Amino acid sequence: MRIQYKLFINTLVSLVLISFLYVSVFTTTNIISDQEKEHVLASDIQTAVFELNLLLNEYLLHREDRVLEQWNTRHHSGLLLLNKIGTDNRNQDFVRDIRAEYLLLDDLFQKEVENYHYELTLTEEQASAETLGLVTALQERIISQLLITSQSVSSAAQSLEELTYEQTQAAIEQNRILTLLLVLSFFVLTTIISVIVSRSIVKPLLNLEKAVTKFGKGKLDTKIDIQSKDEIGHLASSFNDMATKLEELNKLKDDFLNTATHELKTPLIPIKSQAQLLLGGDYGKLNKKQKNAIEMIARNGDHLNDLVSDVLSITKIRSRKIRLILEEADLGQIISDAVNDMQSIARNKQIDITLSHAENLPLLVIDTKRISEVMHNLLDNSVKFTPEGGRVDVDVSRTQNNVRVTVTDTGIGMDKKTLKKLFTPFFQADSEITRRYGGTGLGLSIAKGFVVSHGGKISAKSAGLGKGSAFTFTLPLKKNLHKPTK
Amino acid sequence: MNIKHDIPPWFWGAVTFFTGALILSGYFWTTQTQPSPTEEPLLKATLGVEASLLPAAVWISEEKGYFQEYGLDLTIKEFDSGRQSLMAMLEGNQGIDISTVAPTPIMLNSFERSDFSVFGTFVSSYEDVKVIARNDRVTSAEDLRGKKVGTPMGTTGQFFLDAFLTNNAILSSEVEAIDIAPSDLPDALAKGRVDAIVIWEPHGTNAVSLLGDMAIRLPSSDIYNETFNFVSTNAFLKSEPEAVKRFVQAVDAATEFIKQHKEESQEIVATRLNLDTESMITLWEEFTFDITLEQSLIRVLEAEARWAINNDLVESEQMPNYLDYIYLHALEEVKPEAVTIIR
Repeated sequence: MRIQYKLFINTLVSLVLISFLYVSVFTTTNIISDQEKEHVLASDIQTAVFELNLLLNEYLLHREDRVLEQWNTRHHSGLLLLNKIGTDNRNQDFVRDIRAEYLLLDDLFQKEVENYHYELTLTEEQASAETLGLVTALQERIISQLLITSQSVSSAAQSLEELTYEQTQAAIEQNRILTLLLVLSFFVLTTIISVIVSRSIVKPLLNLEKAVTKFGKGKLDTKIDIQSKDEIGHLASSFNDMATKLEELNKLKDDFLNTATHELKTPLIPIKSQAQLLLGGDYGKLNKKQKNAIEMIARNGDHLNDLVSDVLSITKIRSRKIRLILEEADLGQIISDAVNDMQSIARNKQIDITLSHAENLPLLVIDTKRISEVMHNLLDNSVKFTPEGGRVDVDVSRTQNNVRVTVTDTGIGMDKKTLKKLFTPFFQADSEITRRYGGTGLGLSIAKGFVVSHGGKISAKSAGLGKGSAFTFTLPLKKNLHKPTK
Repeated sequence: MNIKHDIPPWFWGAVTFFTGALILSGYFWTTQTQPSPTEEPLLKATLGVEASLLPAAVWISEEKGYFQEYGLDLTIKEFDSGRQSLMAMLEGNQGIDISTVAPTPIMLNSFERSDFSVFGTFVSSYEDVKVIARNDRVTSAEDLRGKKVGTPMGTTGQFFLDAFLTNNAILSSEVEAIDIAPSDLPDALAKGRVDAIVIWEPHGTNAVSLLGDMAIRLPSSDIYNETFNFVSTNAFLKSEPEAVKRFVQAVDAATEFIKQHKEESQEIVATRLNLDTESMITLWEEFTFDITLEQSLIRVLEAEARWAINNDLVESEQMPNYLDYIYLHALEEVKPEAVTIIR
């Protein structure tokens, strides 16, 4: 699924959840609102009953007709309230009982008014003791019933008010808990969905980033394992195609270099041998000009041979095709031979080469030729970049697991930028140095390739320009070789 | 990277829309929740008022300009008592439309006419009406037997005197009540024309000042909660309901001012009535300023009416229906919670 669809679905789900949350909160708020309306009605009914009691007392005390008017109006408005209340099924029976008592109260009040007015209309002849006695007895019973009923309605109205208040509070509490649960559920759900969606996007991106980083470090056989069919999947597939093509091109280049260097080396052998024969006088005596010319041919032939060898070596190193011929060898002897080989060149520059090595160095399983080449490269490098009168010190020591060889010189030194790129093929600090000191710029890269192939490490240090350099490589005591990949 | 390009154009539209909606709703909310004084043309009315402390809300409203603010061009005419003001209004003298008056004159007039109504009680006090005597003749309520007591007849003073005597188990017939105008009572007491007077403020304080050490106030708290009310003719209430409503709004605003700025209100009233501020502060605490229409007003009117009937102060024995003397609409519109008359 495409990323934009994933993000769209994520947003859509969030919106649906928000809508659900809103509808739920809205619904429960409406329930609270209904409960509050019920409570307000109950309070108004309580007030109506209170005011009717007040009017009842006023009437019984002073019998003013004004009270009748107020009673009728207030009783009617109270009845309207009682007709409105009771939307909550739980209160309907209660409200029905109050309503019945409320109607009874009015009925009794009207009877009392009627009875009082009847008493007033009695003429002196009619107002016999017996009649007055009956009227008074009836009045007492009605008033007694009125007071009991008014008390009962007041208590019931108060209970209804308290009940609806408790129901409102309970609804508010329920709403609070429900809202909290909904918000929590919403939070958890959206988090889960967001995590799933983001993981489905970010995880392939991280894989892609790792692969690109490995690829950038030269591992051209790197492939990305992404199965998704989104934009990242398409990108990974394109990357894999590109990597395959680059790997093929690289192989083609290595094959070309391998073939070319072999082809270049083949004619150099007769050139070199024929030049030696000419210089040795096998084809007659050479005059001075001829000798100089042949020497130049031999020298350039050697240089070309070295260059082709270096290119061949670096090609093998980069394609991991080096095949080491391993044997037990005395590293001290190899280093000593290399130092001796360099002594004549060093002497020409009045450079003193010293060698110090620890005693009882063990025999190492190494490719003697390759390690000798490493040593020659390092010494050649130090002598080349050390001015006349300088010195080169070689130190061989043993650590717990390695043998360490350090070549220190008092040469031109390096800055930090140069140190970083020192082992990169064809690297030389600047064109002035290339012109002045010559060289292919492959020596240190080849040295590194050979040392690493033996499971060792190589590094360089310098305190700065003009402050000399120190090259160190280690070789493991135990056989721990990098196997060629092919 | 240009950040503006990352924000879609509709976003700014939505922000503008919601900001606009918020400002508009805020404007409508504030304009609806804050009642603003009317900007309609001023309505004319004339108020007859007793020149005393009781109508403090009127003096405050006059000083603070609340009548004009609520769209009323009010002319104020002062009277010695509420009864005089009411009579002037009912007889059509001086063009009085609205009058301040205590319950007794209302009650007495209700037996003779039904063309006026009360539309608000604006102050009440248990301490405003007092019995002040000369201590060389009277030292307690019992001493009033056979004595002359001055009070304006047909006013709250007369009702209060009867209630006071009843509370002290003295018959009305045992005391000689003399009708004297309120402002003349302190002088009458000082000169010995009467032995005691029943009077309200500020005349009570004036009498005490005039007599000095010779004045004694007889205990009379809790006998009577005097109220002072706004009354108007039914004709005016019917023809100018908007003016009455604006009048109630202005008085309500003044009442709120009194509650929130007591000292400033006392100074305004003291200056208006040319009274000493210190004695004003003492009297002030005796009043409750609030505009209401309470069920108790009807009971008080009925109680006074029964008193009047029993003492033959009125010809009719038929109790008036005081619901017919109440005008609810103005206060119900301005401050419905202040109306507690059962309806």
